[in-house]
Amino acid sequence: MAEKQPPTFPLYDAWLKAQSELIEAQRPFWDQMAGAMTAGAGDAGAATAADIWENAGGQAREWASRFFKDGRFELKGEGIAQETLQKMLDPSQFLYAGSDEINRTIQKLVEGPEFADIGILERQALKATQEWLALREASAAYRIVVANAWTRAFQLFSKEMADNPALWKEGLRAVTNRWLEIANDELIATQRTDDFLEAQRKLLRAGVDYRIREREMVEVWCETHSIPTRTEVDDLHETVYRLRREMRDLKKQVDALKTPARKPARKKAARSGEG
Amino acid sequence: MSDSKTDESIAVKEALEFSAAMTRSVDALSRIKDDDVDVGATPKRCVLKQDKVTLHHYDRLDGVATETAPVLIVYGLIGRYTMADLQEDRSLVRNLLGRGVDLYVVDWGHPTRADQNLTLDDYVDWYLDDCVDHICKAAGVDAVTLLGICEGGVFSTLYAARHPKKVKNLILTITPIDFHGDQRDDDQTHGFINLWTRNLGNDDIDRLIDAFGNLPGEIMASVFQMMTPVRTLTKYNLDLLDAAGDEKRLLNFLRMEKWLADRPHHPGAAARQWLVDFYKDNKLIKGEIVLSGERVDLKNLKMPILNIYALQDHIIPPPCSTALKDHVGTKDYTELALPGGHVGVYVSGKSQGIVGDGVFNWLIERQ
Repeated sequence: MAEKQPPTFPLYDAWLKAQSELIEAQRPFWDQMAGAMTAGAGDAGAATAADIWENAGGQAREWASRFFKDGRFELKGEGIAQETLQKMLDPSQFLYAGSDEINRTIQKLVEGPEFADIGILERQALKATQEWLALREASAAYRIVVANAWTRAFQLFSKEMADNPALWKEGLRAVTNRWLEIANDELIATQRTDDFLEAQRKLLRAGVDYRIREREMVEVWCETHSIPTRTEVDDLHETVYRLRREMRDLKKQVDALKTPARKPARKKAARSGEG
Repeated sequence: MSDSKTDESIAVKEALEFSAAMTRSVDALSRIKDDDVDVGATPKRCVLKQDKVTLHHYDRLDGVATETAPVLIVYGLIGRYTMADLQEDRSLVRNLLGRGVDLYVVDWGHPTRADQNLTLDDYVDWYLDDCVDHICKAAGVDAVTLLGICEGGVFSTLYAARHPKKVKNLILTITPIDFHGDQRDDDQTHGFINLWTRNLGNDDIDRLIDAFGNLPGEIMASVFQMMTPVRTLTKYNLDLLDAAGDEKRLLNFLRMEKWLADRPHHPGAAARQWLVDFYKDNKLIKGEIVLSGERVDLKNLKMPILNIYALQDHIIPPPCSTALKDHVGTKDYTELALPGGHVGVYVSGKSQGIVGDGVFNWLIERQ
């Protein structure tokens, strides 16, 4: 199809071709992810799944980097418009659709920003903890459940297209819409399965356990260097909160004592018809 | 998906349309300034500020006389109140101001870890109560009308049940009351958040909040995204390209993106109550919610009530909202069912007149 396009649109030809092939290209990815489950249980399966995922993400980052660097296109704009443009031109968006957004969010939240020198040894040590391994394994297990859902959706879609080849005549958009409907239904049905809910709960728990372990290690470092810890700051917040509440209650009591003197004025105002 | 199977003329036509749409999208997105994507822009004045909470009074529209007593819009802690005023031509705020409603809104701000100890008791009996007292004093009235949205509808319900003399009318929109009502909704695209929360153990919720101090806004945003899984895949290419030909439509697309990205953290102690007491244990309709040491009885809701819900609401399934009628203490109870989904009540073109008229006509009969 690309060779039929006007020569003035080479960039968009490439983009269109990528869009139309993107869906097809996802199939081996999800098949591989689903296959990781049988390739080996536990750490080996998790490592395989993580590698496949990282490779796909890496390819997308490399593509995007070349896309913007070669001078054919410049990422302009600002704020939410620029963020939206970036997402529009990111071929790896499919990795996060169908429920992986929460996985990505948990990973981002628990790992946080990494500064060059602060706590570097502790962060390295964290990567060797049981909590890190559990998080990696829970993330892979969750992605495998999602991958299985995508694989089932591809199977359903393939069967439907084989049974109804006339749909191709309606154009790429019609085919894409049908594919998306099938995928959406399968993903939503999967979200309600025990496998999915269990995998997601384990992922959340693993993320939280990792975060708490990280805090414990960082607090040891802080105490060693006479820096206030998160726990100490939280204690201060609680003290301030309790004082604020007490102050508020006292102010209310004082206001209540003053109320009888102000009461006629309020009644008069209400009768004035302003309400 | 082989190109050879597709009719070539359709494919070429689609390719050209796609190219043109891409050009328009990239050009438009590159030109738009962040200030152009304004949300919650209807003019208003800050009349009370306490900690991170701000009470605003909307300016009257030129040439529109005030027809009603004060109405206070109460949004929840999940998302921002700007949903009610997303864009000029699709704004509940403007719809009501245009009809002469004297309108206030409370903005809970962006809680930080310093706010992790705030409870729902504080939001209802402290901040909201202070807002109501301020409005009563400023307007010279004894009671205000509360217009609650989603979690803010629950805040309004709790407040009205605890301080019935200060609430003239209660208007609820897309508000959960029976948090297990999703089990009576057969549509499996509805109610995932109910299922997701019930699937968590209490210790999962405790540890999540211990770890972050608050319920991170990013977590709730992700859960919302999961409810429409394939949309994540399509909205930045198919939907966005469809919108790109029309700058106004594109700006509205971006306004919604901006609102979605503005997802505050939910203070930890309040989040614990919200997820465990309300979502998991469904204590509100059981009469087991305790605020400031006292049980909340929905039978205290003796004021007129208007309950607005959305028939295709996947976040708050309709049975979660309509359950209210069996628990209130008033006979002046009205329901208004709208076509569309959760935020469609505020942003869909169809609902603009229905909600504006529905609320105003109901309200004006109860002044």
